[in-house]
Amino acid sequence: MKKLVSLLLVVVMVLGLASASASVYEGQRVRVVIGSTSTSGDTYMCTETVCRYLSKYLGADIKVDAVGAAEAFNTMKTAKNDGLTIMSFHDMTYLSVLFGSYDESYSLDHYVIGPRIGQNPGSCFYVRADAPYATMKEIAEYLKANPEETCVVAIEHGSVSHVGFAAYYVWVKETYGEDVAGQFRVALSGSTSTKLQMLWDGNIDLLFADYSGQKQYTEEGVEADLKLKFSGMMDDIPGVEGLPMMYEDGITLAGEPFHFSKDFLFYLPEGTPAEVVAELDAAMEKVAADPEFQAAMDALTYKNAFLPSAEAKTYIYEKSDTMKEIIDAMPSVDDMM
Amino acid sequence: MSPELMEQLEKLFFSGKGIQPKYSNMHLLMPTVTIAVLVLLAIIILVQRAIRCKKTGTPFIHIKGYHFFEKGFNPFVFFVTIGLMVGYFYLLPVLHFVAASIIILFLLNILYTPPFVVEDKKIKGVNWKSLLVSVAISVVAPVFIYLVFGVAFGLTLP
Amino acid sequence: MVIGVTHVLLALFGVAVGIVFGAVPGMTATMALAVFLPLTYAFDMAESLYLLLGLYVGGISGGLIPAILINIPGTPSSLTTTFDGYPMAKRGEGERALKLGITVSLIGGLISLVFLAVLTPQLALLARQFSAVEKFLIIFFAMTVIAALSKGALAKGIFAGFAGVLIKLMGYMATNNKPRLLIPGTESVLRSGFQLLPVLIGLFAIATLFKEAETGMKYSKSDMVETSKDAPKFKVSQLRGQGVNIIRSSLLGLFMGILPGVGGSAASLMAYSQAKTWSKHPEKFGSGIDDGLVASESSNNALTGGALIPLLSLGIPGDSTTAVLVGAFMLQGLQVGPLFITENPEIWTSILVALLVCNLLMFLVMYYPIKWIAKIVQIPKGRLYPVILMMCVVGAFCCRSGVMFDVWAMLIFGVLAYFMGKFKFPTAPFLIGFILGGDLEQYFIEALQGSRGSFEPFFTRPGAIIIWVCIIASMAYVVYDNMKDHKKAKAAK
Repeated sequence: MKKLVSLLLVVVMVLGLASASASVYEGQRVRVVIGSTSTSGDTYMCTETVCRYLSKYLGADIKVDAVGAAEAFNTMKTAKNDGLTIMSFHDMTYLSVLFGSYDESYSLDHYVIGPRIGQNPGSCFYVRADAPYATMKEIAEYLKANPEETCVVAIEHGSVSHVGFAAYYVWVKETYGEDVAGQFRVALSGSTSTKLQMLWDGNIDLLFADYSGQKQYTEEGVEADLKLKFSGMMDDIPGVEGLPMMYEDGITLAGEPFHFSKDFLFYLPEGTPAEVVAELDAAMEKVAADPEFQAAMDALTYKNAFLPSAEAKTYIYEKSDTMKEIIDAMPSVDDMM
Repeated sequence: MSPELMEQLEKLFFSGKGIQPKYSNMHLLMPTVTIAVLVLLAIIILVQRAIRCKKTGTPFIHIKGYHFFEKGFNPFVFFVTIGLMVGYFYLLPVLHFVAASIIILFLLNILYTPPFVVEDKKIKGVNWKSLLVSVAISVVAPVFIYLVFGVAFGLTLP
Repeated sequence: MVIGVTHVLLALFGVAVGIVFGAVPGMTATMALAVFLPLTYAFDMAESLYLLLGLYVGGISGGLIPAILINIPGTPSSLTTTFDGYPMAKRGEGERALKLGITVSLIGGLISLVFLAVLTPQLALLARQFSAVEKFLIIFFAMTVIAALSKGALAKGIFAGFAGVLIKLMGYMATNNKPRLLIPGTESVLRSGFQLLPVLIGLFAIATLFKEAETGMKYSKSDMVETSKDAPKFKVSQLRGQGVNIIRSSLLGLFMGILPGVGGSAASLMAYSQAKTWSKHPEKFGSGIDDGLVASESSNNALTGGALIPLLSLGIPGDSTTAVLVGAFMLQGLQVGPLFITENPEIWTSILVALLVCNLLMFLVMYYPIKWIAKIVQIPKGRLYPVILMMCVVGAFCCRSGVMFDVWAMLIFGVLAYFMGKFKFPTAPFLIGFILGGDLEQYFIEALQGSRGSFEPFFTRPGAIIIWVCIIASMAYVVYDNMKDHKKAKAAK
């Protein structure tokens, strides 16, 4: 009798272990929401590329939905924490809370941080090709020499463009003084298409966008009134040389020369069990090791920058703290409009 | 109207030349203008009605002899339709698309086309053909949609 | 390779699927493209184009089927098709109306293709002259169609229109992420406000369902009108008087497509209102006159070529569907922008040929089977409407990839439209206001940000002045027309 009971116990334990180690994702449908509505922006492109390979290694059917930031954040609040709904987004996740666009209930503490899936170093500032300045430093110099002139910047409140400009603004204030800093004005805008049109209309002077997306406007052969030029790259892009770098101008970020890349992470709803995240980590590691995936990311000028969730969490919290200083030093957008 | 709202509206409309929308108040501009136009139009409509009522002698608010529903109003069908529609929406998250649709479609079908053989205003028997059609439609349509849109195209169905 | 068997087959598949998406109220061409976009990775650029352009053309064209047969626009751009298409169907001319619509859709599509092929650089230059100020005024001009549509109940019509705008504004403003006009408690569901498709379906389909349910979904004689025996058949000669109309409407559709960010519904609205204004018998519009149907369908297909112009010459999509197309190019590693055509001449040719093929296929796929599709009106309402309800639920639910609230929203607007009908407020202007309200606000704010708060550019820019002239002329005509009617009615007494 005792033997039978212990045999049963062993069987039950084995079955229990077996079901516990059964895959969460195998054969499931996963929905990945991204914080942008554009199916041609870097968030969609990076996520789509990742998911194409991830579905193989996870054994799941993954769909990417470009629902936009507000919708994505709210989906994370209400979705089940079974791991089948994931948000893939860049730094705007925590920046929007730091800037006050979204309240504390959307802060990083309310997500389970997943792996980092990629990096886009290609954020940069553009100006019109015929503008009287060519680098970020020259813009400040120009404004100093022409106190009646203004430079209107298009930003999206709470996004990477906002923090990029904030860093620049703080540097201008420290290096050239309040008056020159005051000659910058802000215009709020949404999509890159809108920003481009505002630039062409002459309503803005400085535009923040992605390298790969807008590079074509800087090339030879583009008509004069459409042509753009790079005025400040936020980070080194592997394989790309000769562009004005923000750190070359002496602009700094938290005391260090300015380097900012967009980090794309998977964010999961609060309370997602650790096994789910572990499975994602394992699959993502295989994706990152796949040479085809590497090639695809290279073609898009993104970095294959996998970090398992634990390290990604530490990383993003540190980054968030760094950004906080700059954001606190930036005046309210209202006063700059 | 909260004091913050009032403050923002003041800043938006009454701060110097033109209207300069700011981050904190640009969301109020269009709604305010629209509401103003709506109020104006509402007054015009009411005045028009008042003038017309004076001319024709009908009271301003027409209560006596007012027909809300059309002629031939069938209250049973009407309210059961509403009930089934609302019930359908409640059932969808619970039973999901195919099951909920089959049930509700069937009920709606027999509501509009009762499968009874009627003679001299009395129900004599069941019209099997009509019932069969109802069942057929109720089952085939949802399954077809599920296969085409849910499976083939991969759209998420309730 | 520019064209081969695979390409044509993909185009055929795309067109067929596109038509289905367009014909189901609540599903649109944009949705179809979004569904198939990830799949295009497996194909090369030319193959993807044939598929996606097929979906685009099919999606835009398919909308006329339910618009004419059951008075529910399959896509927002088919809204104006219901005005005259449905009365024609009620008269038993459903098949003829469908064939007429399909034919002029083809013509409109081909006209815009010719302009795309030949005048893209010049038209792109024209598009660039339009800043936010002009776009705001054009959308405002498109809104004046409400006045044209509300003859006899002008104040109520305009009220409905602005009510539509107000409802559209409910929620959070995208640019500054601040809430407005929210009923306490709805902050989370109305984050992005009400969606167009649930509103459209609710206003048209659900409200009709209620109205029919009032009288018990009676299987009445008018449902059984034979569409073949007594009703006039479609003959090409019927197009003879429509020449000017087709060309004007197609050009308007093309023009609205060229303007980035001004969408398809505005195109057909403009075309319809202009057709009515310039017609010799404007009072017949809305009763089932060919002109109305022709204007609506030729303009919304002409939009397809037009929307590709800014995309392929400036890199800016002309409407929401072409915006998804950008993703397709990017998946293949291509950038769309000013140098696209010069750097990719073979793909440019593929696009032109693909559009031609897709337009022709659309015609073939729709024109011949339409006789059978038209027979839908013969299905008893009691059997048809439950299925329509189910399709509407699918459409509403899928428009945001699975949000149940949208289904409830559909119900809310169905109830609203039902009551609006009871109090004699027209629902089409409400929908028009809802459709245009978002863009109207966006360009207004953008224009004010650009002018730093000054209203001067609204009145001093040359483009703006031209559009103001159009607006004032249009409004003056409406008022004059209404007064004429009033005098006639008085004299008749």
